[in-house]
Amino acid sequence: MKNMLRTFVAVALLLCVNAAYAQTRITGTVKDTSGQGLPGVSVTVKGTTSGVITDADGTFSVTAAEGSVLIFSFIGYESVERTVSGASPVDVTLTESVTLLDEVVMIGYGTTTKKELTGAVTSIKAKDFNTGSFNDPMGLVQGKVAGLLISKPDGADPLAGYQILLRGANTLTSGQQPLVIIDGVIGADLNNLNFQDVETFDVLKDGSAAAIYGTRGTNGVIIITTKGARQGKGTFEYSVQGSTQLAPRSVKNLSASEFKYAVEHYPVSAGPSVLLGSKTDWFDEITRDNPVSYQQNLALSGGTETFSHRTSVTHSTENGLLANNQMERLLVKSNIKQKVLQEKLTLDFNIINNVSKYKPANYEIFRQAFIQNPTQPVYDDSDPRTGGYYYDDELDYRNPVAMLNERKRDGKTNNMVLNMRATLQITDNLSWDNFISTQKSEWEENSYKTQFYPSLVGTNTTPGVAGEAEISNGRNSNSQVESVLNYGTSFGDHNLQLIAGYSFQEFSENSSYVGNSNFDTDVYGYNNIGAGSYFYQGKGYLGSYKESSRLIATFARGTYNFKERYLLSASLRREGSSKFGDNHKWGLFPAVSLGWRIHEENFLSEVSWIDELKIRAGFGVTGNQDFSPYKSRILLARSGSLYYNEQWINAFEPSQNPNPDLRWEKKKELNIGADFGLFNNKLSGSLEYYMRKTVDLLWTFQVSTPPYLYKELFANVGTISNQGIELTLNAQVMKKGSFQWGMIFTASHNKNKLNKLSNAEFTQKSYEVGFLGGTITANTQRIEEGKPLGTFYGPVWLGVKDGRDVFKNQNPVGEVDREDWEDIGNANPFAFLGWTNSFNYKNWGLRFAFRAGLGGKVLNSYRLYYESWKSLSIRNIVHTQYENPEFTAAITYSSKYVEDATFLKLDNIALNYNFNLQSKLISRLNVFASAQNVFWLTKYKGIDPEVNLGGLEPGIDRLSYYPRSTSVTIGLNAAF
Amino acid sequence: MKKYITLVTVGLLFVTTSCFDLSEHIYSNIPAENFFQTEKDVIAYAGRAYVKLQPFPEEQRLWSLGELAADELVIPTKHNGEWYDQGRWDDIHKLNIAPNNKILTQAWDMVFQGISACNEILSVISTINFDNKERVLAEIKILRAFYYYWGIDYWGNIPFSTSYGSKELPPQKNRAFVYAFIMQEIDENIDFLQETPSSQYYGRVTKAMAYMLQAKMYMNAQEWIGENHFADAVTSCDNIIALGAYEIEDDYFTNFKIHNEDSKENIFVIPYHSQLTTEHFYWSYLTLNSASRATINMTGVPWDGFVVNPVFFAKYATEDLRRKSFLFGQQYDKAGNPIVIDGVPFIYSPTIANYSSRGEWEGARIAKYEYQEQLNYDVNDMENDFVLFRYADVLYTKLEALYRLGQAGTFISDPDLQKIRTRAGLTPYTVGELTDTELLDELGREFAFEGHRRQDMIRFGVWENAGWNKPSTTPNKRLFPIPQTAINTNNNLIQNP
Repeated sequence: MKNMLRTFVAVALLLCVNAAYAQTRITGTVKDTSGQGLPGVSVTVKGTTSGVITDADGTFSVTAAEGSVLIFSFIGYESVERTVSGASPVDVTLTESVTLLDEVVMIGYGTTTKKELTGAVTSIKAKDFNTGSFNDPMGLVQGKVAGLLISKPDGADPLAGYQILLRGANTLTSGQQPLVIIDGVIGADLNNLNFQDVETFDVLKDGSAAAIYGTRGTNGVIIITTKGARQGKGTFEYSVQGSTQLAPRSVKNLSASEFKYAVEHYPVSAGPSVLLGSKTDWFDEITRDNPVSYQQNLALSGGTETFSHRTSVTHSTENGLLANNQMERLLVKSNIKQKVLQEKLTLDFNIINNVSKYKPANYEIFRQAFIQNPTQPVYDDSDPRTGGYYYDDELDYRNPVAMLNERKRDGKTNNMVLNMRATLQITDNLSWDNFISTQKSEWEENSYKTQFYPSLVGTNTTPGVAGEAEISNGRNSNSQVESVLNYGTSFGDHNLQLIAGYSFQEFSENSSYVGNSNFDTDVYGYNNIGAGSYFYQGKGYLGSYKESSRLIATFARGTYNFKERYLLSASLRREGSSKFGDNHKWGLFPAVSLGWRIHEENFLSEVSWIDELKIRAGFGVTGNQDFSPYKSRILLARSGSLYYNEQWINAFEPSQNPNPDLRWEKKKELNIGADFGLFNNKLSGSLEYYMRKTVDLLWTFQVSTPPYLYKELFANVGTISNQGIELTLNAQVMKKGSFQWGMIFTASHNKNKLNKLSNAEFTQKSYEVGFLGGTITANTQRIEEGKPLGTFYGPVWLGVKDGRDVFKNQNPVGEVDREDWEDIGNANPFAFLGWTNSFNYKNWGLRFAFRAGLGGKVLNSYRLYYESWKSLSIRNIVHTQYENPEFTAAITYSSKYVEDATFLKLDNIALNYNFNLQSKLISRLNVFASAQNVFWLTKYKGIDPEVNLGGLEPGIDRLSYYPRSTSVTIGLNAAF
Repeated sequence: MKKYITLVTVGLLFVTTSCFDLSEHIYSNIPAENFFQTEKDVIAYAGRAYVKLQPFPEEQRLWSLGELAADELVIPTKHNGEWYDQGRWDDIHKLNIAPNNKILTQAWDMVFQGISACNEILSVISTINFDNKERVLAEIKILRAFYYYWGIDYWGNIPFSTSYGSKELPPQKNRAFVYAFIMQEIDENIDFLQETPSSQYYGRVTKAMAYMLQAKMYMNAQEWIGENHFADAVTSCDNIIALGAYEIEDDYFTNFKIHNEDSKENIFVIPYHSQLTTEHFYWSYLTLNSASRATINMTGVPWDGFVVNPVFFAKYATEDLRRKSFLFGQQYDKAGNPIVIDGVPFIYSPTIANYSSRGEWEGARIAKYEYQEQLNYDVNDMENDFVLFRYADVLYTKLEALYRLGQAGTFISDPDLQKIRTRAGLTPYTVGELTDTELLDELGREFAFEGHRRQDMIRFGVWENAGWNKPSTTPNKRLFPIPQTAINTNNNLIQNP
């Protein structure tokens, strides 16, 4: 093997030397219109993949053959081409572009330009990012990509990330989030990236674009490129942001005086004995006032043409609304680029270390604070067993302050990403890219509940106190090896680019946990877990698990264009996953797309107001394998104990119904789009129409026993379809002197339908989901053939009469039989809109971003459980009861609680100021103030109608929730 | 050139082997193909057919469905609304059971997952050679017949399959078909079963168990397939008596003690272990009020739902010692002191004033199985083994069959038979005392909460009668509806009328 490699390198080197033979060295400077040197400009030799980047002063040096063409391109500027003649310096001035036609777009295993793009790909650069402080980089592009829903169903929890959904629900299994690729790492963890290190987002929306990532492209692909090493003089950047949260919004209940009045005047379940004389604001007791968070980032970069680096260090501490709830993170990211072998071999080395410590929130505490009797005191020392807290033995009723204080919960993660890319420029036209990456994550979560934790009070068995400790931890890894050959050539008006590659990925994960109770003392916390007596009483618990899976693929893509006018791209990926049945492991994922830049045709050249018009069509097939491994196999697990031959032995059984026929779920998508630039490119944008159909849906289906052992089988059945339109508009509304007004508008509409869910073997046509337990105990939604996912089913509410709900088709006892329940709305909004405005005047910048959801329903669980005088017992009820004061009956589920989810939100508003410094020390200084989640307008009676829209039970605003707040940030960015 | 050929060959080898290897690596489970190494493994695999029986007396399975539908058990809604559960208990009590009733569904699942498990076990182990293979196969087949027996008893028309591996949905078969299948299975396999009971075969299918199953089939043949097989039932019972291996215990409650494995009367039991068995025996939780914790030093808090039907309770004479199967009247703590809660003596009243709002301490409670101390759900459950068949059942079955044949006199003075009455503190029966009502009531008293009552009431023709807070019903209610989930997943199934 070693010998072979040596031979190969020698051959490659020989090729390089040969190729370099007829070349000359060209130097020059690239400047902007104001005469400043432009650093970071890409200088490539046309028709090849070789090139350099300008240094801090805008100078460059490149080797190219006489007569070849150099392309100078830079984000935000019009590209320029120059033919090389002789060895004279080439000086170029780049002008700022408006339409960004030559903007580089990442398309997976390569790049293209916006004008040559044939798939539905949205590219967002730093200038359009939201301003503020984000715990998840996706916050930068919220509302900026039509069809990409980025929301935060868990509100102000510092541990919660964004939910990302693209073009509707295309699958029934758990994996509905788009595939994230960060600097080539497939399935990268967004937590390992600080938002300030992001350079661009490229979202591959349609099947023809995503098919190059075959198996995991069904939900779209988000390619994130981070700021990497750059040659030039050493720069040092520093930024700091401090934020606080204002106006916490929680579900409103009755205040102590309202509660007292209600007990005395309304037909509630409670008698006067529940009035305990205190005035407790439970929400206030468990939350911080204006929690402060901060984030600091340091970045060092610089280097020569052959050696450059960038290192960024981020430290952040975020405090949640819930007292105790915290996230602290130290993230170091370093990138080193080195060119060796006469600059023919580029080595790109990345290392990321992300250490975080956190204290997670128990959302149940918010619900307990809500239901808690407001006349009840927080503390009460009459019973030594309760640790000084007021304690009530009532079922499912716990003092939230005790829940908060008497449990210590700590989490830690330690993530490491290491990768290296080696790109060998074999000839001017051919390069060979090799990538090795490993992403490892270790986590640990520990918890100790003291003897005074409400659910443990009075449960101790001698000896010891009733404390309960749990330790769990795990590790997972994602290793990737890829090798890609990249060939590019131009002859005449023909431009051709070909890639072919191999990809190998292995995932593994293992975890273990242990739990014990009844410790000698609370002093140990979770640090002496053996000291509890549950183990020798036979009640302690522990376990461990390990799994692994593999994905292997070969792929190829060709892109061709004639005169940059007629565009064609075709790709094929053959991919195998270890998770499928033996005969179905491999799948083929083809894609083809076409583009026609019509405005280049003669008949449109006369139309002056059209600067750019391209129509595109693409078709692609993608897959889904995001489920846990081993579903196809017969695995045995312990089924219990059996008394056999005078002793107890373990019995074994298949742990699941095996499905050896498990195969790929495939999504086929047709996308038709148009890109346009009008009125001197003052208005540009794109319009997309798509039709997606996913067949052989992977899901856990109900089956008959016999023939099966158990009632569930993970199998491929049915079809789901989505179709929709997306519009993106970029407008340069005004540009007058130093005043600029820019606007981005996005709109998307998606229509989902579950076409089929059954066949001869799987006969069940509908499934009841959206189960809400406790006093309600109803399935609120139904997954049914012919209907969209997220359809609420229930009795139709007509009004209140004699204190009771009146329903359509109610039976003599006033209930609606299950058969008479109706479709009472769908959780998915009809359309989403995004509207960003940015104003620049001299050194000032102001931007704000609105987002809206039109239509859609949301189930208000708090009203459903707690909106009746009858529900007021020792438990509090919702304040909206005042809107329906005549209702006194027991609550049952109906359309009464399924509300309109339409909303308009001001997501982000930011003001920034750039100092004009003539200092040699400080090259840039910028300060800003921003606010996120500023306000929202909605008719929804709960807090925020924008709830979880993923999965199979979307649109349910659950009892376990995290409140919302407005966060205000001030920040400073400086470069030295 | 040679170099290149080597390079390409090695490259290809590399590419075609590990680079494209998609085999799965399994760590925390046992891949089936590596499992069967020793005979113990075969038993561990086949034995799960027995494990599938363990849920039998749980809250929402076969036993509770049958007893609640019959007149022994009631689960009224408590005064605080507990145990209403969307009316699912009340619906069963009134035989107004919807096909999506949770208990109905779980009872069905227990039966048919048991049948599927037996089918799968038989298909797997029949291809392996091991000691006593015929006996093990026979045990599994009789267990499967036992599941089918419950299937036709409760639902009549059921999906039928004896194989595993095909994806074909099983056809629906009527009682006559399944009856014939069960009888044939017993005939073909009974000779391979263990004859003399011993601790080694405790909890297993033995000859006596198979004969008892056969006797029960014969007893119900009139109802199920319209044939009179009472004489055959007598023969089946005589076959067990002839084994000479079982006897009527002196004390009725010996059969239900914490360590009832010593009982010489019990024929077929489900053994439980307080910690090891994953399905539990936890009647203490179902029936006791939390105030009863003091009586048995109970660790957990019981759920207080299952109480004795007041009308059924009244069937016991005051002197009937079997009435101690229930808790009623003043309750005492472990030390023997009367329990008083907040100044009020803790008394279980066997009567219930309001069916739709049961008082905290209303209703007699089930205490047939002795309760051990420190009971704690899922941590320390009842160790008593649940009795499915016992010798008293053999003798009473024989008595009933002979009574129906007009020959009760030939057996009435059998000393073992008489002992069943005398150990209860009652006088033995004379032929003249035996009437339908008396026999049915006596079966109820002797086998209370042992899962017999439904069949007995149907056989004696009183199933349709109105009962305590239960209207009379039509004959079609002798069969339970087939659960909706079963119909949804198998379109061969037609709902019972």
